[in-house]
Amino acid sequence: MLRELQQELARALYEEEAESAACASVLERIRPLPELPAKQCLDLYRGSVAQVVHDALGEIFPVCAELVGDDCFRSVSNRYMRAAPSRHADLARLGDGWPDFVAEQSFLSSVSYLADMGRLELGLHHAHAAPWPEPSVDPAKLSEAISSEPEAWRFILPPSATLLGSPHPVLSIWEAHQDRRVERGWKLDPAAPGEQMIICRHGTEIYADFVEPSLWPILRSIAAGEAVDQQLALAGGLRRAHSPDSSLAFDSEDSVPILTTIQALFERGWVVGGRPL
Amino acid sequence: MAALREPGNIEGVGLGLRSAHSAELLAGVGDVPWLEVLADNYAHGDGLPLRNLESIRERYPVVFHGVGMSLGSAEPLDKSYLDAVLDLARRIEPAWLSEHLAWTSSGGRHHHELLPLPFLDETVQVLAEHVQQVQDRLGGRMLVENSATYMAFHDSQMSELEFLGRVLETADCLLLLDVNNVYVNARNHGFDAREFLRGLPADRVAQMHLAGHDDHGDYLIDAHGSPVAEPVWALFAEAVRLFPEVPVCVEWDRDVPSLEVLVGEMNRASGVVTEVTEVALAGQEGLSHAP
Repeated sequence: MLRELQQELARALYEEEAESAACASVLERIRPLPELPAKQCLDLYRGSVAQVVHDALGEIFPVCAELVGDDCFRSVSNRYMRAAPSRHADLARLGDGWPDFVAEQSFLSSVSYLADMGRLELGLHHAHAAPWPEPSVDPAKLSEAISSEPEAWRFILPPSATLLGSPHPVLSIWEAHQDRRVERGWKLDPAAPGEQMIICRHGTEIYADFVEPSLWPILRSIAAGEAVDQQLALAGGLRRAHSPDSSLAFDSEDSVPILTTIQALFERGWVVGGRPL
Repeated sequence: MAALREPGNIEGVGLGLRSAHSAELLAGVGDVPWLEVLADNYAHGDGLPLRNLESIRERYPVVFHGVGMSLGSAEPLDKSYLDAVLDLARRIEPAWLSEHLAWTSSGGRHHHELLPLPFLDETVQVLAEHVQQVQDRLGGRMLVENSATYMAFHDSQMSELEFLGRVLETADCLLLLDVNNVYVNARNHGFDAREFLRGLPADRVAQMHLAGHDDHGDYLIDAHGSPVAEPVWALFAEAVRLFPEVPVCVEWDRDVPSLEVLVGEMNRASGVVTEVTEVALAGQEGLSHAP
């Protein structure tokens, strides 16, 4: 009897209409409170379940909520709750599928950048609880190893890192919401180009930062788990575009050295080590 | 597997840990004797939350509280959830672990809400089996909390008080007595809160909770977003008389105020405990000097 009752009540919690057959069925099993009819008892729980989802999503996606306003955000939250049952006890994982869900909603097509803004905010959310980087190979040993066998090694991004390339200027929009420029009349330039970014935690600081076009393919290659020689080729290719005659290991004066490029990734904390493939 | 620490250092009135207060608590603000940690917030990830908790643990004795175990679900316990909580317990070594008498999942779906149970023989058995599974892995007795409810079922075969007593006995576990929940249920379901307290098995009451509720006129909601209500303070004094020396935790989860406000609630609860204890001691003195 317990399982059947729980299944019946669970169905009623997610019905769009309070007058549905599922709700009517469970109402027959609910004993009203002295001052509260059975339907209101059920409505309290239906409302509370929806509110928990709305609040949890609002914490993960605050800028998305600001962009569309609370009524719209609540409507999206309710649809998401019904379409994507929560499969994990951890409320913090509730938003994992939200950006992809948003991308599929035709009624949100006027805010085409909303899904990518959701991906940015989800990246920040994940960075908070992501594990710390594992201790890396000694830098001197790593340097020696990748110089002699770049095809046998791979670089490692921090466990907290998310790379996001968007056709929309979502990081600029996000930043405008962080420093409240939006409230002071900031407007998005309709012709603004797309942006590539990394979302990451460095120590205890969580941030999103622009990635220059020259570094983007290298970071993507590292994220894909490709060998170091791939990233050297990408860096070399970029350099050779400027100086086609220079060697791979040394750079002409007016170009960015390959090893300097890799070094910069380490210094920024975007690459945290290497390991054999 | 033993994950629990000796509970001897959990005494008096503590606070529910909220991340907004971590820095102040680490600096020793408020003279808080111990903290209750919502294990769900730390069990599923690494990174900053867990590092903060480890820092807190270095300074404070802690107990674990949970909301996602779904002890009352007719389905088996979520093994991955249980593993995560027990792993965290091994790492942090709380004095004990508590969970709600409720269900939060069914059919593989998590509802993230403490849903009400029908008071059935079958429910008692389900809860007892689940509690015993947790206790076997924990290496000690756990605490179960009486939940606030806004619904009852025609199928129920007993009162909440009888149900609670039978669960504690059958599962051989301890009670986290939420005094606010007793008050909320007494108002919502129409029973006498003091009579309810007097009917509880005193030897199983191991912790108490205090929190605020929302009064909607016809019904109350256990909202944890306001100070403890005056009638609940009065009921708490009665609970302290009945269950002396039981540790108390003040909870506040929504619209979390400054630590100063929470410490104010904590100190008021400590004052009630002191006052009730002194009256009880004076009564004993009087009896011992009686002719």
